[in-house]
Amino acid sequence: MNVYKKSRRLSSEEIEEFGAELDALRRETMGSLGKRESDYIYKVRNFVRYTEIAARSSLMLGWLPPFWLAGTALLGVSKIVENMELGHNVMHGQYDWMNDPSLRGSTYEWDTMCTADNWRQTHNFVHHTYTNVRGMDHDIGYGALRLFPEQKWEPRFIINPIGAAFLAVTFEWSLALQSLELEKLQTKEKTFAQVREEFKVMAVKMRKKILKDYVFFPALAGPMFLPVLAGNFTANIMRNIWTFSIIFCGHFTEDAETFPKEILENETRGQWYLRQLHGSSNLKGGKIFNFMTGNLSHQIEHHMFPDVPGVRYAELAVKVQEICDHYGQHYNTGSFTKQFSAVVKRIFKYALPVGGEIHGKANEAASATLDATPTVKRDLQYIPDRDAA
Amino acid sequence: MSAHNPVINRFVGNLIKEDWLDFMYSHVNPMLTVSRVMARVVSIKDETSDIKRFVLQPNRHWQSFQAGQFVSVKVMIDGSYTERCYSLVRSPSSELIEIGVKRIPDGKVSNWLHDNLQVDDVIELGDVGGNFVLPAQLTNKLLLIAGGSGVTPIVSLLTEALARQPKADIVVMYYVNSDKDLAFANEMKALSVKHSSVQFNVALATDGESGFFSKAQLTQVCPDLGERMTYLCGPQGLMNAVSRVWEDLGITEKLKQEVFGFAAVNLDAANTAMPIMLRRSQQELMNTKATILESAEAAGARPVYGCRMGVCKTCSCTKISGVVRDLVTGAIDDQPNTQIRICVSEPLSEVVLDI
Repeated sequence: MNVYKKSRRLSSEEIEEFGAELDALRRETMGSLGKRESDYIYKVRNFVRYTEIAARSSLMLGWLPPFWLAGTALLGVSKIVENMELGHNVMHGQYDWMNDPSLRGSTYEWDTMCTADNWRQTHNFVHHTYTNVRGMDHDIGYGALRLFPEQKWEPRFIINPIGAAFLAVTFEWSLALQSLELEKLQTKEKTFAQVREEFKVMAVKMRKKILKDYVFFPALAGPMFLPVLAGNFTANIMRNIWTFSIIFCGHFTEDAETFPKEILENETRGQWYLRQLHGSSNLKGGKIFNFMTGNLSHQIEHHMFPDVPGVRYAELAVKVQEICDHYGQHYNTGSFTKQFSAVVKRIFKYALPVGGEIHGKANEAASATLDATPTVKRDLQYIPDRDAA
Repeated sequence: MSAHNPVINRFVGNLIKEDWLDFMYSHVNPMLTVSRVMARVVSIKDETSDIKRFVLQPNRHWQSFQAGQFVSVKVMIDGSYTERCYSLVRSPSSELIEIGVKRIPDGKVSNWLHDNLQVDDVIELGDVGGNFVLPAQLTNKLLLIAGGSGVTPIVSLLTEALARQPKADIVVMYYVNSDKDLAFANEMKALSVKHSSVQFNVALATDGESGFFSKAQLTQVCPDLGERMTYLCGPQGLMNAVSRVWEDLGITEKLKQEVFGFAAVNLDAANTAMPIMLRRSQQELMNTKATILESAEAAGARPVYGCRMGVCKTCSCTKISGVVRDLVTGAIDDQPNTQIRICVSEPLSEVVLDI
């Protein structure tokens, strides 16, 4: 499984030129942000609000199957868009430049089990800094799955497919609990007392969300308690499965790569861009698909420019792809069906003790990027949960 | 404008997001908010060719202010909320508030206000601030010196002083380019007619030497200037010249100045080159300007900001590590995980920010 054959080996000068071109693209885009993007995000926010109102109202008439179905589906859509196109992007600080306190990345709180503070730590910092670096990026398998040959096989991975299905259905819970790193209990790196302490903050958010979807709105419906509860439950599951699928397509497709920790040593800006490119994969689709994925269909652009508004990724993708072609770098993209099948294949394949430690070949590109002259020193220290405290 | 009852208020922030409620309310009336101060434009009038007066009706969240203070005005320009501070002209007891805005060449907000704001529009107001206020007890005689559009807080101080003490001994010295640029002069003149203890003087630059500030010029108008509590607001040149005279006389403690912005710092140059890491947006940059905000912008980042002078805290963010100096207070902060205002912070070491 040597994916690096698809990309040309670059000299250290080329890597820095590659980075400089992307930096220039980024600067140009950031400088052009204005009314277009702000109008867009307000439209998205209004869409989320109006669809939620319509969906919850419709569910109040939940004894009629068409209303239940429409209400549930619409609520699912509303929740997906709130998490993906609104929450995820806003929490990256993509709209900070608007100076609207209600759209500020550092304070936005989204509609999901995972607290925004934990997310800003596990996702914005850990995952985006250490993208696909083994032992650093906890998103590789979320501590529960084996998806790459470089991950050491353990007997627990035999149930990989069942684990993945469970993760998909309960995705928002898994993300919420992710920062607890429960697998460390097994290795005794963490104690139950520590976990209990960290869980307290999460419990507050979870209680709120449970009260909202499973007590308040069902109770508001009076005799329609059960249909509303079932509708809310189904909408949450819908969102879980959808977000799981999109996110797994972002980093665990056939050509996605993982990296050893050493790659971070003296990593330059150009090397950083290269790692983001090789660790991410895109999904081809139309405007509605992009919208429903929160523009994570452009995972590559998102990883290169996490604070550029997602709505600009589609047009950036054209230029990024041109730059990649110019430098002979593989640009990993494909239809949802193609990419998701590859993910499913991985889930099944690496349940078995195949692949093993084949570091030699897999690290070829990693070492290629390591050849370059170091210019900027990167903080290698992993500091868990500093924000969450 | 009445908002909602206090019972709802308790739920806000706990169960319902404030901006969600504001969104609902805005369908009824844009002045209706949970806590944000909104103001409707009541009238707009040309005071001079480049100064407009905006009279605003604030909603019920508006809290009082002291004469001489300023309010921050938030307007959306090119998709981004931009704030500027303007002195409040009318007396704090007035139901309506008023600001005088001079059109500054290339000024983002002043031009926008002049060109786009219409009667009946609703805008958002930020914090009220400023120490350019009268003492609690008005015992001293006053000298009020205004230059150009710096007249706005001076009008406010004059009105307030006379409201408190109708017989207060006040000398007003107003420096302005020409009689076409006289703003709020009619009001002040009327006050001086009504209150014989007020002496209102205008110096026009078009009149030559007598129209410019000098120790001799001012002494002629106000021989006892050393005995007066003096308030000064105007262009930097005038402020510097007056301060020097007061320094020479050794009475700087009697001079109160209103300075917009911190002119002492050269914003275009960095003292020392330090790396700045913006952790959430995954950017590393060097400080090339005096403040972290300016450097980040120069490197293509777009962090949140408000007043850009260390007042409003909009740009406040978590400094994860590193040492910074506050350019306004001079305080040095070397603690991890503290909140800093990047518009007035200079890095003294490598700095990591949660932006």
